[in-house]
Amino acid sequence: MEEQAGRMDLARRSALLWASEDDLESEDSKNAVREYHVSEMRKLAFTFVCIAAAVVVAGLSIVYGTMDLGFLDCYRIIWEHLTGNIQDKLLDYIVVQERLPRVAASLVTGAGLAVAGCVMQSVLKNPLADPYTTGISSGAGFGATLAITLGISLVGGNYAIVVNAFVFALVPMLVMLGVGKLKGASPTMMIMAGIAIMFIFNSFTTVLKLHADPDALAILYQWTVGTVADCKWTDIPLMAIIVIVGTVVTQLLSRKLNILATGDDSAKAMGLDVENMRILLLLLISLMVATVVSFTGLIGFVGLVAPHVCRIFVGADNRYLVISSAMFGAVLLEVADLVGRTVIAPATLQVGVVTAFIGGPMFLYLIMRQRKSSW
Amino acid sequence: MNTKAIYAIVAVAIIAIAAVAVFALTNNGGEKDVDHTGKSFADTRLRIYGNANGDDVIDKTDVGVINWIISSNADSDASKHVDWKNLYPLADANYDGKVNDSDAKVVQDIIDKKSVRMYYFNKYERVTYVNYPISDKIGAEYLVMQLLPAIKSYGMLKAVDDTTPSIYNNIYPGVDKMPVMGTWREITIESLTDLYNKGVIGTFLQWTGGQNVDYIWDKAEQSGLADKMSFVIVPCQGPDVIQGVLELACMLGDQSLSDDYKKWYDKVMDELSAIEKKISTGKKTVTAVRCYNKNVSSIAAFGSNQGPALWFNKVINFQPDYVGKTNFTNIGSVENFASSATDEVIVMFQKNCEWSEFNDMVDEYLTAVYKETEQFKHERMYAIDFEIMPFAAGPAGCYILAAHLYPELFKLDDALNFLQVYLDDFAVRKGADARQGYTYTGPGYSS
Repeated sequence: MEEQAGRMDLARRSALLWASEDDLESEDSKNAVREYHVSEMRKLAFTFVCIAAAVVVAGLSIVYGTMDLGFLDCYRIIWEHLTGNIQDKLLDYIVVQERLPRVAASLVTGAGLAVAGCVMQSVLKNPLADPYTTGISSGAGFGATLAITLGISLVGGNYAIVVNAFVFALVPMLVMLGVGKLKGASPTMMIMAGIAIMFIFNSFTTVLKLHADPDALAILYQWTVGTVADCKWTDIPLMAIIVIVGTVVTQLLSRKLNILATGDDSAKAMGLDVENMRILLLLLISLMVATVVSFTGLIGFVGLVAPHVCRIFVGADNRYLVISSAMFGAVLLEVADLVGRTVIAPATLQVGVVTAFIGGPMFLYLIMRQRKSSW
Repeated sequence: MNTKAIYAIVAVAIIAIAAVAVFALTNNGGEKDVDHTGKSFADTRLRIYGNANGDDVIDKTDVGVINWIISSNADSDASKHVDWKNLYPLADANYDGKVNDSDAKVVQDIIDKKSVRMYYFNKYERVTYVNYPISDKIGAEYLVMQLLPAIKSYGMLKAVDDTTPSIYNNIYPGVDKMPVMGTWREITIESLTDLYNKGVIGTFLQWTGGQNVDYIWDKAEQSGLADKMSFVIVPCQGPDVIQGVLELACMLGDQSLSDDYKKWYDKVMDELSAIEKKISTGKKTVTAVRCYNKNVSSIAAFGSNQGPALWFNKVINFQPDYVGKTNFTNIGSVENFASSATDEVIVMFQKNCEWSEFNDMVDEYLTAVYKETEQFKHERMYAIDFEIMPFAAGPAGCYILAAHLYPELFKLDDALNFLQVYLDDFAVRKGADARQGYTYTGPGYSS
């Protein structure tokens, strides 16, 4: 009887949270609802701010570069390109073929890596989880190293490195799936398997690097620190489709992510197929991350830092966290690329270097002010 | 015969002789003037379209060859037709798939130094073009810039990449004060356009050593920058360096710029050919290692496909364990080196130091890394610097190496004399003594 009464009270209190203040009886209830609404509005506002920031930063990134083209001139050039009325072929190339693809690639890659990080941290219940903890980056790095140092690739031509990186990035996931099926897909098991794979691939990569000549090492260095400079318009659609679809699916599964985050036992109690959900989500983000890193190389910190920053504002509710992480990650990488190509222009600082410079201190700051309740 | 008649005959004779003389002087296309032997494409050092006969210059003989091809192929007798695509592929000066008057005009424009699009077979075996004559304001990437001193035109260097100053500010004075085009091998169309618009450079000399790919030509063409600036993509490493020197001078519109280097190069190559003949049955098998720092773990060997090795192939056989690999093979320890290296070892250095410091540096590094090895103790390690090998001074370095390895056949003094000519005539830094640097003459080794 008492237990039933307790459950009724809980249900009533939950219902009250959705009620208008006017319908409530006590001042405490009204305050609670008011606080809840404010909290929800804050989360929504933060999400919209992230979206707006992504748009603004992207818009500004197009304008800045080695050449001083001017804000209006840049957009005039884009307009002329869209209307087929190109006045200056060279300026059109610089803005539309050099700057714009970088901007687009930064947005897509940043969003993809951030969503992947968000999901990984929720699924694996580990604040340090990011796309690379599962060995994805190591697998991609090994594939790229194979192509660059030994010329061994699954396809020839310009996409040798890209295809190699993509295929080998998926290998760790396949291994983890196998481990998950054999040993059960618990968070701990997943992370341990991922770390093991990371070490294995890293050792193979190191062996290849030892035999590399200086030129190959230079190319490899550029790839392993990450760059969006090599992304072309022909690459963007594939990246965008995978990231957008992945983000949308993740957003649709965000409620289940919330349930998953409560712990395996609670999640199972609420009817969730924990292991399969975990595997599905990891498969989804592996596909997203493998796609973007195969074009951009290994860009660190975005997947780690973006979700943590967003948690400060939106908490751990994945309904808001996924989309805000995506937007914040896009902003972060866009800013990093802008800094990288302007701070020592005309020389370039690789975007992966800049994200490390930004991400490291940011992460330290987050650690210092981290509230346990948000994790 | 009266006097008037004699005068008339003499006048006619003078006119006739004058007419013949004028005809002989102005006739460019007579069949008897044309060298029909041509050269195979593989042997051609100046791979610029318009160099119809495949020699080292573009001149009126090429116009003659083109005109001969035109007239031969116009003949109704098919047996007189010339298969120019195979025999004279560079006769198609405007690269339109045909040999006709337009090609002859292009070659004439080149001779007259008029503006024309000049097609050439670039380092990556693609046909690209420059706007002839190319601008003498040159932005050059890492190390390919050493083509400029070889044609005595170092003053044309106006911009560099961001790697060069830190590595080569000693060897190439002033590079640390030059405008930077961008990061080595990542230079963008935007940065080049910026420097072009500011009037800093009009020619981009692209790095073509190592295994890198042509990362910019397609972008240059697509963006239209190739119509404004010239993108020069010529060899700069190993024996092919002569191709780069000849082509760069030709593109600049002054083929005489390459004359001195060509003369020096050909003379040393003749000596090297003589060396190859003398030692053809007895080429020594040698281990080649790099010595870039004093860490034993960094000992690494290279084989016949590496940049420095491109010259060494002429006088040695590389240790088979490292042949066929395009990368350095890590040896990693003195033990591994001692158990595997041959009796004689070439050691390649890459150090940005003053001339007079080279021997001391070699002493220091070899002592730190190889002191306990038999090769070091028995004076069988031959140091050579990256600055002269694999690049424009490579032939001299190769000769010096041969003198060390085959002292009974070649005199070190002769080899050093060749190097001295290079250092005096072509090196950017003046006052170097070949006997002081670039050959190991440290303690215990004979000079």
